Formats: sequence, C-alpha cells, structure tokens
Amino acid sequence: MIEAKNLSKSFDNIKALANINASIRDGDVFGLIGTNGAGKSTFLKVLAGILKPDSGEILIDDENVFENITAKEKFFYISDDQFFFSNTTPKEIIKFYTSVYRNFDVKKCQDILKALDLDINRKVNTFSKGMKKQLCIAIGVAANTRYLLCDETFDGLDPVMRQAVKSLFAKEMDERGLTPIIASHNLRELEDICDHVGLLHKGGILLSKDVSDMKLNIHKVQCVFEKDFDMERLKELDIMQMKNSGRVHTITIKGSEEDIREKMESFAPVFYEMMGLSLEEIFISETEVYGYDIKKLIF
Amino acid sequence: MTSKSLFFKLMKEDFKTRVWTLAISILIFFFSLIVATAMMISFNIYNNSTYNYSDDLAINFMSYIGISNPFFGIIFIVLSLVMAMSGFSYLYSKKKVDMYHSLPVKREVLYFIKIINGILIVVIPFIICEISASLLALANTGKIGVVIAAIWAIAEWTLLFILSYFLTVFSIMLTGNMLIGILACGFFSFYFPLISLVLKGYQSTFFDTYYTSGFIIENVLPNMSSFMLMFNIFELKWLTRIIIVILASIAFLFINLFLYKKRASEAAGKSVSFNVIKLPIKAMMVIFMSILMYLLGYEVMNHSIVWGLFGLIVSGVITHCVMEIIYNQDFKKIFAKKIELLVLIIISIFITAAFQFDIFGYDSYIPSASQIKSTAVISDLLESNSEQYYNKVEISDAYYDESFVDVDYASDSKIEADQIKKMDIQNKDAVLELARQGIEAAKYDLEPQGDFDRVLISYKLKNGRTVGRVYYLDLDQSTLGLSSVYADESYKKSNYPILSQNPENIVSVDFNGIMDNDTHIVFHDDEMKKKFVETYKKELMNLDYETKLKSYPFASIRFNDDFMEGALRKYAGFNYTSDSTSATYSKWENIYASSLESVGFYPIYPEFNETLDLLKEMGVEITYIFPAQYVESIDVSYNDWENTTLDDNNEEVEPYSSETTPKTFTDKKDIEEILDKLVVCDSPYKENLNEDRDYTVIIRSGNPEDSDYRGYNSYGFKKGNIPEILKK
Repeated sequence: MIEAKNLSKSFDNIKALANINASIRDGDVFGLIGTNGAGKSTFLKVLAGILKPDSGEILIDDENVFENITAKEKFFYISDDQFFFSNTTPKEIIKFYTSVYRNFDVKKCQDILKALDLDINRKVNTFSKGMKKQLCIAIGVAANTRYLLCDETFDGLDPVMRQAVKSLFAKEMDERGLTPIIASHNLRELEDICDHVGLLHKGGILLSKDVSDMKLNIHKVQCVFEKDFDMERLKELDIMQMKNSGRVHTITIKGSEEDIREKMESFAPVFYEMMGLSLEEIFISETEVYGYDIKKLIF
Repeated sequence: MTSKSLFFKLMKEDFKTRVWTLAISILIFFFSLIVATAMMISFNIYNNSTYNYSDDLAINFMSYIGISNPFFGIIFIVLSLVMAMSGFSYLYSKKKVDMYHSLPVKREVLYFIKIINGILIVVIPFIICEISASLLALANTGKIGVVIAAIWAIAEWTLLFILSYFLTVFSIMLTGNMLIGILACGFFSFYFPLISLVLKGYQSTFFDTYYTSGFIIENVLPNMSSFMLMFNIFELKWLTRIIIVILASIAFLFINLFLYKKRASEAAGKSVSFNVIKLPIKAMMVIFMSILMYLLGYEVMNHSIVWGLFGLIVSGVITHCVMEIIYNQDFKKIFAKKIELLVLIIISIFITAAFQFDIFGYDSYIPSASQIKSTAVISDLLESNSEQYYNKVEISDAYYDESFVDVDYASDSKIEADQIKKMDIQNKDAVLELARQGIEAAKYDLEPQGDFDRVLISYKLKNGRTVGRVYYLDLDQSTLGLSSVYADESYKKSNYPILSQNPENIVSVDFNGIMDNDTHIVFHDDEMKKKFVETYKKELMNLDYETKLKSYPFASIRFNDDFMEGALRKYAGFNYTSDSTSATYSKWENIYASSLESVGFYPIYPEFNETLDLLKEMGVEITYIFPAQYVESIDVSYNDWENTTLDDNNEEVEPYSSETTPKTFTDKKDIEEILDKLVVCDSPYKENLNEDRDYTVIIRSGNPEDSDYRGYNSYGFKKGNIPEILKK
C-alpha cells in the first residue's frame, strides 16, 4: 500500500504539492487527474523517489521511498517523456533494465513488444512518440514490480493501442496483482480502467474516492411525470442536478439505487429509467459540491 | 542492497553509453605517445651522426612523457572535461535525471560507477600506450630507465588527471546546465590564480614598501586550480606533489559525493544547483571584476582615481547584471537584487580604498622589538655579489661525447628567499632603525637615485610569521645601521658560505686579480690549506662596513672543491686551446681562475694583509693597482648630471648624454696620479659602493700580445678620492 502523508513540495516560490494525503490500495488502478500544472507529475516523481519532499512523507508498505532501494524495487516509473540512451535499441534497453530490476522478465517484454509489433533491433530514436510509449509500457510491465507509475502514459497512444494497454494492465492485475498508478489530464482516458481516482488541483487533492462508491451513490434518472404532479415533492430526493427537455426530466440524484427507486415509484411517474453515469458526470457532480467548475479543471 | 554483480553490470551498461569517449581516449594516446615516440626515434636515427643517439633519445623521451611537459597537461585537462561531461551531464537533463533517480540504485552507487568508468576509460588506454611507447624507446636505446620513467609518468599523470577530473565533476555538481557547467570549470580554473595576480598588482601598485604578498597569495591561490596545477606542480618535490594531489583528490571525491547526494533532482536545467552558493559566487565575480577594472582604469589613465572608480562601478554593474541573467536564465532579471549590487560595489570600493590609501598601514608597519625573533636585511648596499654563491655549476655528459659544463643561474627571488630563511640577525635595534628610515623615505616617495638603494628587511616574528618590506635608503644616512648589520655574524655567515665551510673539502683556490693577473693554486700541503682558508675566513669575518666604503676589492678568490676543480678542468678543456692561453698565462691551469667567473668568487681587499701574505708565500704575484707602464692613455669624462635630460624612469634620454667630451691624459705622471686613486675592480667580485658617479675613467693599455693588462676598460673613483689633477 502506498500512503502520502502531508506531502508538500515547492520549486522556488511555486507550491507544487500542498499537504497531500492519499492512500493507494494494492490491486486497484489509481487514477490521478488534474490540469497541467496541477501537481500530478510532481506527485509521481515524489512517489518515485526522484524528488525529495519538503515536508511530509510518502511510504510504500510503511517504508519511506526517497533513497530507499527496497521501496524503489517495488515500482517502475514511466515518465511522460522517458529517456532512452542515444543510439540504442529496445534489445539494449532490455539488457540495461535487466541489470537494474532483479525480476525483469525478458521473455515477457519480448512477447509484449512482439504483440505491439515493435522491432527490438530497431534504433529507438527512429520510433514515433507512440511507439516509445509502447516500449516504456512493455518495459514497465516486464519489470514485474508491484506498482507501475505512469505519467501521461496514454497520451500519444491511438485508441486501439490504448485498449491493448488497458487489457495488458488488466491481465497483469489479474495474474500478479499489479497496481498501476496513472496520471492524466484526460478524465475520459481513465474512465474504464480506474478503481480509485484522485483529483489534484493547485497542488492539493480535491477529492479521492473509489469510482464504484461514487457510482453507487450517484444516479441519473430520466423520467416523465403526470401533468398534475407536484414538482415540490422532488425535494424529497437529494438532487444534485436537474435538466428538463419538455416533460422529460433528467435528474442526477445522490443516494442508493434502492432508495431512489422506492421514492420514484412513490411519485407514480408516467415513465422513469435509471441510467449509468460516466466518470465525467460523476466528477462534475462531486466537484460542484466543493464549488468548482470541473469543466474548467480537467476538460 | 546493491550486490557486487549489480554494480559491475551497471558499470558495463554505463560503459556502453560512453564508448565514444574510449575511442577519443585511445586515439589521443595512440598519437601522442606511440606515434610521437616513433617520430622521435625516426628523428634521432636521422641525426645519428651528430648526437649520441641512445642518450639523446632516452632524454628526449623521458622529458616528453614527464609531468613537466605541458602538452600532456592540456591533454588530461581536455579528457577530464570530456569524462566529467559524459559521465555526469545527465544531471543537466530533467529527462535523464528522472530515469536515473527512479531506478532502485543508490545515488552513491551511480556516482561511483560514473567516477570509476571515467577514470578507467582514460587510464587504461594511457597505460597501454605509455608502456608500448616506453618499450619502443627501450628497444632503441637499451636503457631500462625509459620504462621506469614511463611507469613513474603513468603514476603521476594518472593522479593529476584524477584530480582534474574530480574538480570538473565538482563544477558539474554545482551547476544545472552544460554552458554554466563549462563556465564554472573556467571559474574554478582561473579565478584564484587571477585574484592572486590582481592582489599582487594592488600591493605592488599602491604599497611603496611592497616585498611579497605572502604564502597564500604567492603560493596557495595561484595553485588553487587544477589547470594551473597541471603546469606548475612539477616544481614541487615528488613526494610533496604526490601527497598534495592524493589528498586533494580524496577530498574532492567525497565533497562531490556529498554534493551529489544533496543535489536535488529538480536542479537539472537550472543555472546553479545550490541556491546557497549563488550570492558568494556572484560576490566573488563582482568584486573581482570591480577591483580589476579599478586597477586597469587607474593605471591606464595615468593614476586617475576617477577613471579607476568609473571602471570599478561600470564593471561591477555589468558583472552583476550578467550574473543575475545567468542565475535567472531570464534577461528581464538584468537589474534584479539592486541592494546586493550596491553592497558589493561598496565592498569593492572599500577594498580598493584599503590599498589606495593604505588604510591598514602596510607601508608604516614596523613590529616592536619584543615581537621579533630575528631579522634579515638584504641589499646591494651591503652585498651585491650574492649570486656568486647561488649560481651552480652543472656538468652534463649526455648531449655530447665530451663533457658539457654550464652554469645554472639563480634568480634574485630564490637568492632572497634563501637568505631570508638563513639569516638571523639579532641586532634588532639597528634593523628597526633602518626600517624607520625606510618608512620616512617612502613617505616622501623619493625616486631611487645615486646611493639610494633597495633594502629588504624581513622580520621573523615570534608568532611564526615572516613579514618583509622593501625600502629605499640613502647610504649616507643609513651608514650606521648598515654597518651594524654588516658586523653581525649571522649576516656574514648567511651571505658567505665559505665562513661555514670545512677547509678539508677544498682542493684549490683561484686568485683573480686586476685584468689577467690570475693564478690557480692546487693545495698539496693540508696544513697550508687549512691555514690559508682559516685566515681568509677570519679576515672576511672581520671586514667592517667602513672598510668596504673607503676601500675596494681589487681581486677575487674562489675556493674549489673536487667537483669544482673537475668542472673547471672540463670547462677549460672544452672552451680553450693551449695556444690561445699560452701567450697570457704562465701555466695552463691559470685559465681556471678566469673561467666560470659567475660562480663562487669572494672579495680580496687590500686590507686582507694576512691572506695576501699567504698568497705571496704560495707564489702568487699580486698587483694592487693597475701597472702604469702598460697604460698608453687615460680618458676621463665628467658627468654633467645637472644638465641631463631624464625620462620618467629617471634614465637618461640618450645614453651617455651627460658625459662631457673626455679629456685624455698621456703624461706618465698624470697617469700614475689617476691610477693611484682609481678603483680598479674588474675581478669577478665587484663592488661599486660609495663610487663617485661624476667621473668615468677609461684606461687604454697597449702591447696586447704579451701583456696581462691589454685592451681598455672603464673605471671610477671612490667618493672624495678624486685626484687633484681632475679637480683642476
């Protein structure tokens, strides 16, 4: 388990992280979202032991990460612009990482690269941005570490490749309990992969919740009421948002599905239907509570 | 935990990324050692007919590979820069730092991998090429010494390279991008030697009594640079230099490791990695440039304080602006931190004022007698022939089939430094009085003229410091003090090595008199030798300053040991033929007395009666004055100093412009009168103390073929000893 306790980091006069508290459970996919400059990369770099926090600590299995080899052996960090030695090939890179990560699985790496159709003897400097990302992911997965820290890793991948990577992560999570921690400025990228999402804004975490919890507690109902229905009765629901199109109402309601259904049936609507919420919609609703316009934050 | 195998695996991987540096290293050493040695061999074969082939080649090879060859100094400086940049320039890139520092590898492991690879990539090709070159030289000379010299050179150059490499890494650790890193290398290579030069410039410009700048400015600061160390270190003794280099390397190895661990990853791309060093470095640069430009402005603009201040302020502001632009990597920050700029300019002005107006009383410094352990006084007013006892004869057998004898001339600074070390004058009151007179003279900024001469006074203080000051004293006013100093036993012993010499080591003496009145005497009787040497020592020790002033050494004497006797034999054999000397000298060996005249001659005054008697007893014909019978004519010129035009340096605008048309004397009686008063001091030990500068006398002597007194020479009179015939 990874825990951040009162984590702060400044660069000269700029506060990049401000008293961040977060915990990342093993086996979950942790999504870290926020605008550019929100502190996502800084958080990942502190987590990777690259940056030393000014205050607070970041622990992996209760061990401080900075300059701690035991803790650092548990993760592989993929930066948003990974460095490769000049004039090198994937084959040589694999050799390098084999000497660094004791559980590095060369065969797995070669298999993934083959599946991704990347030539291991081709010079990396001839790779496209997306191919380099794929190479990073292949190496990161093959390093067989418990955690995989990905900074904007999906940026630059085409939709097919994005799906392939998500499948790869899912397989690794299933087989050996990999915990990917993915930072992205694009909420839609994390939609179908994250179990837990942390929203960073101006160096602080606005919210950190399980996606399933959020989904369980927020529902969207599309309904049509009788003409003489007293709309005041809707106040019995914990309505977060309501949009009307003629007599069709689309209402975002906080609460369990069971309670909402019970109430809706008591209103005897002409028609009602429980609809699923996208992560984006959940965030819009959640952040509004804090007075933020999420669209300005992450879209 | 990092296993050994991980360490070596990572070393191997790091080596792969730096393989291009290995190619550079191999190429450089292949050409600079193996090819250069082959060229040397080829060159020596070509010149075989002239030179002693193997000796010459061996000497050339050993000199080429030795640490006194600046060519290799430059090579190792370049390689240290290449290796440091190839190993640690990743610290300048955020991308690279992210990758390296996210790896489960301790920073010290990464550091040592980079360091060790950097050393091995240079040292292994160097060793291989050096050994190969030495074997080539060995095969062509048959001298095992070339291999030993090569092994020694490997050890010394390797140590010097390691130090230079660590200092370059030090610059990288302190900086965040490559351009600033290279500038930092320049800063650490030249800052301290340059500040030493500027401080010396300030002292010599503004202090009238400046002697030396002390150990730190003279010796430490100029060598606080790997660059300068590469070119200067051979001047130190081998053990000293090895210890210095090893200790400095170890210190920088761990300083760099400390900085590496302390250095934040986010420093990559910034100008400086540690904010704490920004102000000190800026202050050093601004103050240095300000005081340098003050000095230049002051000197160039004819000692103008206004121009000096203009230079100080302008250069201070410009340097501060440049530093701020570099620090912030933003031109808009050109005028940032104005308060710091103001403070630094004020500090610079204070420093220049401290020198310009001698705020700390350098020129008026005079220690109390109770602070002084002993003193040293060095001046031509006391002794102007000290180099006679420091110049060394060298015999070289290497270059030619015949021996080659030469003189290694000692520098004035070396002579003074040694005399200061040896001299322990206890007559503090006399020395302090001389110092007071010197301080007074300095106040009036008198130009040294006539019998004003440089007097160096050095105080060995009880606190262990040695402090020196240079004054210009008037002989007439300082005679008493100078006389007391000259009478001091320590003064005499530190000046005249013969006074501490054992007669047993002496095998011969050379008497060198007026013109060619020279005799070489080999001692066959130990008793006589002992008696003669001790007599001379006694008379030299008893020689007082008053005698020096009123008399003059009409002859010189040299005491030769076995080595000197052999050197004279070889020198004479090489430089003269018996035909060329037979006409002048009654025996061949007498030529020794006029050979190597810059080494080892002591004075003989007419007052050294006992010495002169013993010389006569040993068969030396002594001439006290120039024999009148050989003189054809005497030309006397009067120097009209009052109507002489002098330039800024107090030199005559045209040489000899002050001399009147010479008056020629041919009458025997006139000649005898002039010769009787003349100072005929033309033996190697010369003394012109208390000389009258108004008259120049030229003797023309005839009968050149068979006389010891042929040719013509220029002489003067002692003050107050002018013949009546001239006064008329």
